[in-house]
Amino acid sequence: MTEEGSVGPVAPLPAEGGPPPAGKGGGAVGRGLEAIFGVLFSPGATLTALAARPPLGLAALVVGVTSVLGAMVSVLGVDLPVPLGPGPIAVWVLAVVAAAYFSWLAAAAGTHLVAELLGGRGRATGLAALLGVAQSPGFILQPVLLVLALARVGWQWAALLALAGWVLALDVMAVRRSHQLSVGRAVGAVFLPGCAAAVVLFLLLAAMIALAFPLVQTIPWPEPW
Amino acid sequence: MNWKRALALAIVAGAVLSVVGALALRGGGTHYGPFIRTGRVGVVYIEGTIVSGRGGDTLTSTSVGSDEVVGYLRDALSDSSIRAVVLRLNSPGGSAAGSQEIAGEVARLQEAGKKVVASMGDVAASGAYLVASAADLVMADPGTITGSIGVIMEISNLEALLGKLGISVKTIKSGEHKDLGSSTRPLTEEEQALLQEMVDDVHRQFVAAVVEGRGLSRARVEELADGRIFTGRQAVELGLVDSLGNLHDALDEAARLAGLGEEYGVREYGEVSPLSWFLERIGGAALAAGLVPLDGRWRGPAVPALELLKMPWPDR
Repeated sequence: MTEEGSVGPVAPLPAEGGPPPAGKGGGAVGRGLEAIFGVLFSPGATLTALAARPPLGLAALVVGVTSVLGAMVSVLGVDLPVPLGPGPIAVWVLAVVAAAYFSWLAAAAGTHLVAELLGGRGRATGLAALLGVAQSPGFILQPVLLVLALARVGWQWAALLALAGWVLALDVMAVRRSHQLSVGRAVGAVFLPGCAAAVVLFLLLAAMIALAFPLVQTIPWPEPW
Repeated sequence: MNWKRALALAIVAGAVLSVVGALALRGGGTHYGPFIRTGRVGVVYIEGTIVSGRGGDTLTSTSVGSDEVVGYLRDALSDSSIRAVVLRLNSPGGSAAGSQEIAGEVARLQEAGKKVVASMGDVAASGAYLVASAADLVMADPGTITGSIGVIMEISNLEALLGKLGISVKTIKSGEHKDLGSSTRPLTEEEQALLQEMVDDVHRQFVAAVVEGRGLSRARVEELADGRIFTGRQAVELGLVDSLGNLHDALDEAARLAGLGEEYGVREYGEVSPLSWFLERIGGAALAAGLVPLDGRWRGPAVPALELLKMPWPDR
């Protein structure tokens, strides 16, 4: 993975209808594959190019396929306490894919909002496209996770950490390209929405526990007879 | 196609094919856990007093329901990757019907060609021994308490106590024996004979199960089936247990019987929940303090139930 200096020049705001991101000809499939290759192995230049013409369709495809892979790896790689038939597995995969699309769009919206508040300038759809293709490391690390799980090596956490770190680094680069922010502000734009969501969830959980505790106290202890 | 596109295509296709391949290789079972080429050994825990239906925990006792255990065994039956099952027994026995339900499911596994090994922990007595005797191989620790081949029914007569409290009970019944076993009056001789015949019948069923499961003569089993208990080492000498060994030895034996190599997988069914563990410890403390009966179970008056004699937990 290469990236310009962390405090280096920021790519200019992409113009509408700019040049294709990479490669010449080959159709949409070829350009998509080349974009994925670029995001994985030459992210800086590739994301800069993609920012000029955000590939929303490719991003949606990457999010969909990687989430299906993740859902299947979670089923195949975990010793489940109960057997699952094809029906529940299909439901699980659909739920994971739906959650992936929702979190992708929510993250794009939240990140765009924070990026604007931090002085960034860019379009939400463009950011969403870049954040979507930034999920591409899943194509490499999900099979690694599967192999580690099946081999019972026990290093899945390392692969998960690598996947999270890789995707977050790409997210930061994506925010920089799409909203012309410095590295520090881009990091803030990526992490603040997640932190805010975590705080809200924590408060909701605390409120639920506070509401449920008096109810629990009224439950009588079972008495032997 | 340039090399970048070819490499990206290989990465994406490889990712998809790895999942498809794992799905294809997982075997025909309903379990979608890690694929083990040589097959797996399932472990089913039977811990606590055996009851038919659903088990559960109270502050003073732990019971295991036959429905739960049978469910696990059915799961193992339908999972083609499970080639053998180890029953890890740590139970003083319990309900005759519940024990028979579990033993029947063991037979179903054997009919399907799966091997079953019983591994005894602290106690595997009475109903738990009935279950163990159905296995292809029975293993125990030297200090395991086992045996207790017998049946018991206890009925309390609280008539005098109720009289001292000024409580009188009037029973209205539709038939002569509808209040059989009532704690508000003593048993009649006829009722006692009826109940004794029931106990004897279940005892005969118990003996027959041990004769069939262990391949011993009826006379030999009847000689041992007076309710007495044995250590694991004594039980080996008497032929009630095949060999001494712990759970891991039992797993190895199960894998060997099933023709699995040394590299076999293990799937545990019904792992002990933290709540069960906690409640068991509380129950154990209460038993140690003498706050509850040694068999760890309160009996209500006039609740006659056929039970295979249960033994106290040795360390409580």
